[in-house]
Amino acid sequence: MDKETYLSIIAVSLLVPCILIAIRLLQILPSSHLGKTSSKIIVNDNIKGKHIMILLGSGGHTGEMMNILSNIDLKNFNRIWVASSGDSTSLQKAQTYEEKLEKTKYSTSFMTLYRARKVGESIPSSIISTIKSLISTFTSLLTLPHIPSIVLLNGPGTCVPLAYSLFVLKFFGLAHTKIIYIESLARVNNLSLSGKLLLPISDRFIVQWEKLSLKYQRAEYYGILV
Amino acid sequence: MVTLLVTTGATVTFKELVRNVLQIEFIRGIIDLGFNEVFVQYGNEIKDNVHQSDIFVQQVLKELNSSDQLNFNSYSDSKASIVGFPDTDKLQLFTSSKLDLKLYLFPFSTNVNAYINRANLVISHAGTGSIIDSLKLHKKLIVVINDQLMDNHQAEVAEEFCKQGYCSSLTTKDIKDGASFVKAVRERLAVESKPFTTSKSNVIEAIIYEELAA
Repeated sequence: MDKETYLSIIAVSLLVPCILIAIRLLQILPSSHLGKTSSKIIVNDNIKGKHIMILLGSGGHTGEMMNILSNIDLKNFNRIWVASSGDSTSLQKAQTYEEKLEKTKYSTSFMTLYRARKVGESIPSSIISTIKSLISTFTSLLTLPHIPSIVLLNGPGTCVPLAYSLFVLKFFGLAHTKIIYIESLARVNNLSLSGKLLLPISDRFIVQWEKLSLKYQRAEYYGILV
Repeated sequence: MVTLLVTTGATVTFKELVRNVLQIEFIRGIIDLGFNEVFVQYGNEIKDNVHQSDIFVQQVLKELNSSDQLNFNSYSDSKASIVGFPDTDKLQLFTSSKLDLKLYLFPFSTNVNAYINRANLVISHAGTGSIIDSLKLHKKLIVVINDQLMDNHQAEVAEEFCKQGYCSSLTTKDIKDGASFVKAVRERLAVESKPFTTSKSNVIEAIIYEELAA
């Protein structure tokens, strides 16, 4: 085989996968979609019984999520509550929410995830724990009886491996999960690190301060939600 | 009853706030302003199985008692006096024969809203949750920013709300001096509360349905 043929084979074998990956990414990346809700709730029977996953990120994140959910009726969905390992307070709050919910035929399940970066952790050790958390999140998702149709996230770090694992599954056509991210009220001028990382892959990205929606084109603003 | 609630967050002990609220000059000052009931939620920090916040607040109370022979004493019948409050087992009442004031201390509560509801003024740490809860219940609010926290992005939200006129903000430096702390309280009491609203529509629910239908 002459040198030229050899080089062309290498070029093609590198280019083809890259182009295919690019095409697939263009297909699934939500960045072309500029969302704005009409705030009308249209319930149809196809939607009932879909699986919704809610991440309770601990502390203030859980507090904000539970405040948001207090206005939402989830009785028509199968619910999967996710919290970090060792965070029993968040699961208790989910339990309280469940107790108030009208009983339907839909199920509830609870899942715990290996915690991503801890506050104050050094960079090398946080890289290792992020990789660990990515692997364990990915395998936990694969063992679920149903990959959720929709996931609600509002930080902190733990939501990043979860969202990216779902995104990888979407890439390979194994999931069609819609990712909804709600930035914390505490973020007034800048997005959090989780927010920045999730902006490109979230189907809907909601902020609670108008300034942020002016800064980031895809960020939707409807006032304070928590 | 004219009630002051001081809330410091559940995790770390906000020592500067607890110490400066439990100083004699501040206590006398707010009694002069008409307060006769103070609730202090002082934190639930546990390290190596030791309740750090408890130890800290006991020490501050000891200093307060020695400052003016106040002899704030634990009042055993506290449960009966405040029926219907959440977590009353954690609530300790202190009274002093020298002052017309009921001082309640508690580490944290699972339903701090009940306490906020009772308060005429809330002095809070800069936690988003406490700020929002107080504003939703239309309380007069002073936020004290803990500048000793490393990642202090929480202060941003306090500053933004204060800029919009919903509360006043102080730093730990501002509250060191009892007289100026009392002055800040007096000024906040004089301001009419600005009505606070959150987004009423079920925006997130609508978005969920939109995305599931798409």
